Amino acid sequence: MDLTNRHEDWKDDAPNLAAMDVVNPFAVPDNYFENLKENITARVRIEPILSRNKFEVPDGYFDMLEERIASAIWLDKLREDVPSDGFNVPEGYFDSLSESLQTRINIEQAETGSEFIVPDGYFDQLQNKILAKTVGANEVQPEAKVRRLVPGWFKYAAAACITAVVATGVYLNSRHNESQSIEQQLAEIPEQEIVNYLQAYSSLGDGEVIAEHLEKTNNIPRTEDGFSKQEIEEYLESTL
Amino acid sequence: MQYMKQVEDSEILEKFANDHTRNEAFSLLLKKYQQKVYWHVRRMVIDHDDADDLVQDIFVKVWKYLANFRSDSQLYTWLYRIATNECITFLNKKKQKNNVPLDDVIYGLADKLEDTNYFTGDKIQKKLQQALLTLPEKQRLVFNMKYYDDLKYEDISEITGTSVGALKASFHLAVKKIERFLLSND
Repeated sequence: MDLTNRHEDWKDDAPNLAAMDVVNPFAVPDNYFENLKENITARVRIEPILSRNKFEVPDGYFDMLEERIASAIWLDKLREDVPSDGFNVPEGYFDSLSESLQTRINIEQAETGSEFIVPDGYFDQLQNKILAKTVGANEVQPEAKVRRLVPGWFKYAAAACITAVVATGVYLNSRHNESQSIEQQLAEIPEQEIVNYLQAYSSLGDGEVIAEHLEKTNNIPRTEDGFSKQEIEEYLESTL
Repeated sequence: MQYMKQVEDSEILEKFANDHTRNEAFSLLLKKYQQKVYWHVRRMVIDHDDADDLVQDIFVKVWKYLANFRSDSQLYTWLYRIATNECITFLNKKKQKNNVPLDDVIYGLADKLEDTNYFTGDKIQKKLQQALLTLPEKQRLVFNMKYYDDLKYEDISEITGTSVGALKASFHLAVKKIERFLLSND
């Protein structure tokens, strides 16, 4: 590069500098400028893609980067200074480790049996199914058919008959006892006392009542004195 | 440095405005300006690989924003402006990233001059580059554009946004510093 033959006033101020040839002392690799054009063209083509695909880093990444790098360097140096952690393993341990682990896995799988598979959503529906069969079953029970040997009303009819028979018997017995008791009592009373009582406490017309009553009751058993027991009883009831 | 005007800037801009000829226009633009932009960047960052990355970044931006270019300035000044900003941004990031003083950054760049694969200058040229590295970045920029690219102060003013007078003053100060460096370090 020839940079000589220039007329500038500064040369008076710097004669040594002015005396030097203006040359370019820098060199470039061979064919650099021939390739530079292609390199720049290629770079221009990919620049839009590079500008779109911008990588991002987490917040504070570069703030911590230096410290992380320093830690990594320190750890690396530590590994060089202390290559071993002091722990030893039996010879060939890691070579057989993979095989022993696989054997252990196979054994455990054999012990637990094959894996059972349930349909999808089985456990989700299980609770509802159980509730339907338990709580739901109580609400609606199927009717059990019971066949009777005798009709259901038969026992009631039998009880009624027995009750009627007993009641009738009791009633008749009580009536008989009552009549006998009254007759017995009257039989035990002397006749003269009865006459005296009637004479003392009867009122006018009672005789007529007794006589009328005697006419109506022809079949009434009579006592030996002419008045039936029934006549006497009725009379006593009417005057009391 | 002589401009290689293979095609007019207006033609490039016209072709670029058309979707069908945009790629062709960009290819023409690269062919015309890629070396200029590269050396402008290389002289600032010294290292070839850094310069290569920056040049690609610069032209990607050119592709993106050329459609918005208004012809109120020249195309190459617009390109230089983008390249200058990228260089300054890169050097500032280098200082902040390594959290080192500016002097250490300069020493790091000076070490690149020892790489004989990419520096073919003689002893005095190396000394000149070392002297340039002692200058402030913007002053070094101005010196490079004036000394190596022979740009007019008006063009440099468009690129840097600095007045012509300030640029002249900056350049002359740079020249004196370099002269002093060349003499004191013999």
